[in-house]
Amino acid sequence: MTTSQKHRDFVAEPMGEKPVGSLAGTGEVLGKKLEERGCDKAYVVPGQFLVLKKDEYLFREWLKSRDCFGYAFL
Amino acid sequence: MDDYAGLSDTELAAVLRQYNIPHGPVVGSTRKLYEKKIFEYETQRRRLSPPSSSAASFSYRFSDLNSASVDSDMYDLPKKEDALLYQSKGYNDDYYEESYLTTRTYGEPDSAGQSRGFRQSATSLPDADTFHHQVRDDNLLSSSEEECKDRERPMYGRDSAYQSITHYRPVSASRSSLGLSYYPTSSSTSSASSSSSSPSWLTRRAIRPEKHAPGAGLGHDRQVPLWGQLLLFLVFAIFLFFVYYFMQAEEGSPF
Repeated sequence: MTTSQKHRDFVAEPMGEKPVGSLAGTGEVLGKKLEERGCDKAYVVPGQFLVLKKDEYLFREWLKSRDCFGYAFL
Repeated sequence: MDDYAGLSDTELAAVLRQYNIPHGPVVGSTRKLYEKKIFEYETQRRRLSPPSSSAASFSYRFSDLNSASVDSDMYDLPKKEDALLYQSKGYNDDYYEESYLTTRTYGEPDSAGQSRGFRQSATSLPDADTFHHQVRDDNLLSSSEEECKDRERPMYGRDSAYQSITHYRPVSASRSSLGLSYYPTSSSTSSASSSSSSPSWLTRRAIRPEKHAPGAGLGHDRQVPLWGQLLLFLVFAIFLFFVYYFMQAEEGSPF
């Protein structure tokens, strides 16, 4: 599976304070939505994975829901 | 599903613990996911009529596993298996043993291989999650290599169900490459697995070198070995040279 340029750019260096829109797979629309909901930095995404205790299934559900901190359901 | 919204975070966690669902902290970001999880769990329970809910969910997963193995030719399994494995995470080993007995999609050449795999599966389930990853690794690898020829490897029932997923999208970003070089990285990702599961892993690794040893004699996937090819080339070149030489001689002054 060849990686896109965006992916390569992202993994080339520590993510630091990169915005969440720089993740491979997040386009403009999704990036903006996530920023509105509070996930404005890329490190939130692996953080969420860890909070879910590295549960892949739940993590994927969270990604699909495109909602960061439960705001959409309040 | 909304009745769970009334529960506080700690109460939700208590419900998760009661259902033996492995969970992390119930925080703002995770709350909705765990509510949905409890909801799915309860709908499963309600779907079955038998009186005891535990036996009901047991048989439901059982039949679901069977259907999963039967449908192994279809490639939309990952989601279902994820959910199944996740639910079965918290349950004891007896369930796993029975599931391996029934899910046999591939005809085993010898029952000894099956029983071997069965015993190994029974012993290597201290951590079902890493096992799940291991099985996926093994299947990604086995599907890329000789799938039908490699009968000696312990055939888990679920393993055979996974094997058909040759085009399965990698589960995580780390699983992007297939091949023998993948062993070190996969073993490092499953480092949390206990020692009892690593022997099965190691036995798998041991089998591969054996399989490749007779193959190495052939010389790296060639029908004719490399030196043979060079030799043939030389012979052909010399033959052409002689032909050319004699033709030149004919064109020249004939004797």
